[in-house]
Amino acid sequence: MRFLMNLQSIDRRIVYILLVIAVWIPLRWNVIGIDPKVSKEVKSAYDTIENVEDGKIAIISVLWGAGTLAENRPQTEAIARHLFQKGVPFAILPWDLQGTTLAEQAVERIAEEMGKKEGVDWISLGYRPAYIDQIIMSMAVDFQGTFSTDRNGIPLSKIPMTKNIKSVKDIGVVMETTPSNTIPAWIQFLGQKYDVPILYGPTAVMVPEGYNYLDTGQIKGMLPGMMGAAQYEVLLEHRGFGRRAADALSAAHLLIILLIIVGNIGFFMARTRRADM
Amino acid sequence: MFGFVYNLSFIAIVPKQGTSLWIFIIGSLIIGVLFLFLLTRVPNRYRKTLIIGVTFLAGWFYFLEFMIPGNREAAPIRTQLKAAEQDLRKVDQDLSAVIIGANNRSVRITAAQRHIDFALEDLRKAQSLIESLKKPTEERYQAELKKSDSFAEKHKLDDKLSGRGEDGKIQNLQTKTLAKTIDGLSSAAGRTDNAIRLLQDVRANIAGASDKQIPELRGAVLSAITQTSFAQIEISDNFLTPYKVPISDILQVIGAFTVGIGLYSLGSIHGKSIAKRRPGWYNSFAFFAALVLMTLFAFFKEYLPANTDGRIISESIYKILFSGGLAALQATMFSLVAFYIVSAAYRAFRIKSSEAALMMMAAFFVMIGVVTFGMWLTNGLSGSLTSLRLENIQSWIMEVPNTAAQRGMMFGIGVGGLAMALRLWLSLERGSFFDKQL
Repeated sequence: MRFLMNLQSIDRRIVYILLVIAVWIPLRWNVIGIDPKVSKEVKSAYDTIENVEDGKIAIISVLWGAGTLAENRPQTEAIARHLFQKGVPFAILPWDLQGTTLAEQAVERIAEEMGKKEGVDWISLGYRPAYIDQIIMSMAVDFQGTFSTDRNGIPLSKIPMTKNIKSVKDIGVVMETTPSNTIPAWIQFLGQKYDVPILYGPTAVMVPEGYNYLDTGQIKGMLPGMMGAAQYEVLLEHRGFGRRAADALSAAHLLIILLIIVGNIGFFMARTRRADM
Repeated sequence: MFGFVYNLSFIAIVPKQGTSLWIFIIGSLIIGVLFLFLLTRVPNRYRKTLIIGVTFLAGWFYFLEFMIPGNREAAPIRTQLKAAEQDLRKVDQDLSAVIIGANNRSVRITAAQRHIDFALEDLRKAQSLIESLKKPTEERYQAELKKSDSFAEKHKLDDKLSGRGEDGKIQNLQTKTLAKTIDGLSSAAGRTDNAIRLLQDVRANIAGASDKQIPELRGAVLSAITQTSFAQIEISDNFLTPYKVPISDILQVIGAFTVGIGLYSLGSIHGKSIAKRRPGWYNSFAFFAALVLMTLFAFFKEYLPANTDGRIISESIYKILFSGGLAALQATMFSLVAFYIVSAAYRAFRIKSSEAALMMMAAFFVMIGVVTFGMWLTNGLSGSLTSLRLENIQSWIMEVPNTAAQRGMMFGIGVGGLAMALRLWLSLERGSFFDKQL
């Protein structure tokens, strides 16, 4: 009885160690290896990119930093990989100082792996300090006037993939990867007004809000957290960090559920005992 | 004159290396510091007025840009398109009634046909109006190009200064605006054409359509509504719209200034901490060391000549500092949240009431249904039991109850946000911002 009652007060250090083990073992040895099923919001995001018209570019908006790297980077990588595969040139539009370097490094790696060239298949527009709403409004009217140059200081009018990109009409899709509530800005000023398909890559905690916009058709698809990236990798038939980490996430979720059950067993035992006394 | 001033922005091409780069950096720094200094010299009694004025004007610009209708010449086109859209919405209502099995099917179909005819008529009128407006706009564009050319020649402006693009055309505010208007008219014509084709197809098939075909026809009508609606947006630019770009440039500069002010503020606090040897002063020292090292090596890796030892070493050190230091530290900080969440869930999630039990059930299905293990657990369920798979239950919770609750909250937040936005715009907020700090 006492043992069962003590289940509600396991030392937090033991809980931490259990979590480390639960995450580390699947990441290290890939012991489970189950692939996620592709949800309709992820499939819809995939189809949207498949249907980008020739001559248009994609934009990957990067608002994440090292803090949410585990969730947002696999999303960014999955979308970049798909765009490279499909031959849709894209521009990285970073709003976060750290995210600028992190996203550029990730795309550089994939570009090298797939033999893609900066300036032809992708560019980075360089860090933009805040004021997302205003910059989106401005780029919709005049893309080259708003950004002028890429990260290397080369005028957009001289870069092969952007020389003909004038305004919102030349943008085929926008992917927003973010841990913050910035998606309304893209919906209000680009998606709704100019009929540009918007895709959403939020962290898991932001996912519940995203379903509203999916339901209304204001976003065309969503990659919910790291599992969204893992599902996208399944569609791309590529095994990246998302799929490798999916098992670790399974183990962590199972551990939380088990701990809650165990804690409640202890709680009920203690309550029963108090009632008996 | 306006065009000439706007063209000055084209001069600001950032040099990549050499003396011109250093002159550019030092010059920008001096201008920035001077501007900040001037701001600090504004007497206290005028600061509130200054902030109110700037906030109000900035908000007023976007408000007016949103509210003022597009140019007057395009107004008849918008009226025709609006009329067509309204007729099409009536067609949608008629077809929806047929889909849900209304008794008067034939009456509804006849009404839909009539409204389609009205819409087609309006769209054709809009199309001819667009064509009649496009021609004079193109002539004005050509005249404006000539005027800009002679201005550039008269003042002996080179390509950069005159804003001449690779196509040889001068891209100042006026020429850009006219080019965009022509572009918008072309797009509107394209969209109107698409809507007409869709409707002609619906009109041809609606009379003999079976119940199964009606939803398809309704889909085509909805597409035509979208096309008509977007055609109106294509020609909705007003005289303020072109200024969105320079305003956005100004905002980006202000954003960059805030980074500078943040650095100044941090430097001031940590500098005092070191000077006075306050407890933990070595943390302040670490701040300065990190700031200087990151700045220096970021510059060196970018601007030292390529393939030199200095550049290669700088790149390596920067990588160590950024990936090995900054990114790793921040990722570690954030990952600590996971430990707290697990610990907190274990300690706090007790079934003490029926509401808590309901919440726990929802949490269970969402947590298990979203991960691969949960998907695998109920993989065997098929046929009529498919909806009981954990991932499907999770999906239903997220799409139905969650969306309903979220939407309710968003309405409330939206109303609150509107009130807050008005208070900010009109500087009605009170508290330390105006009462103490300034």
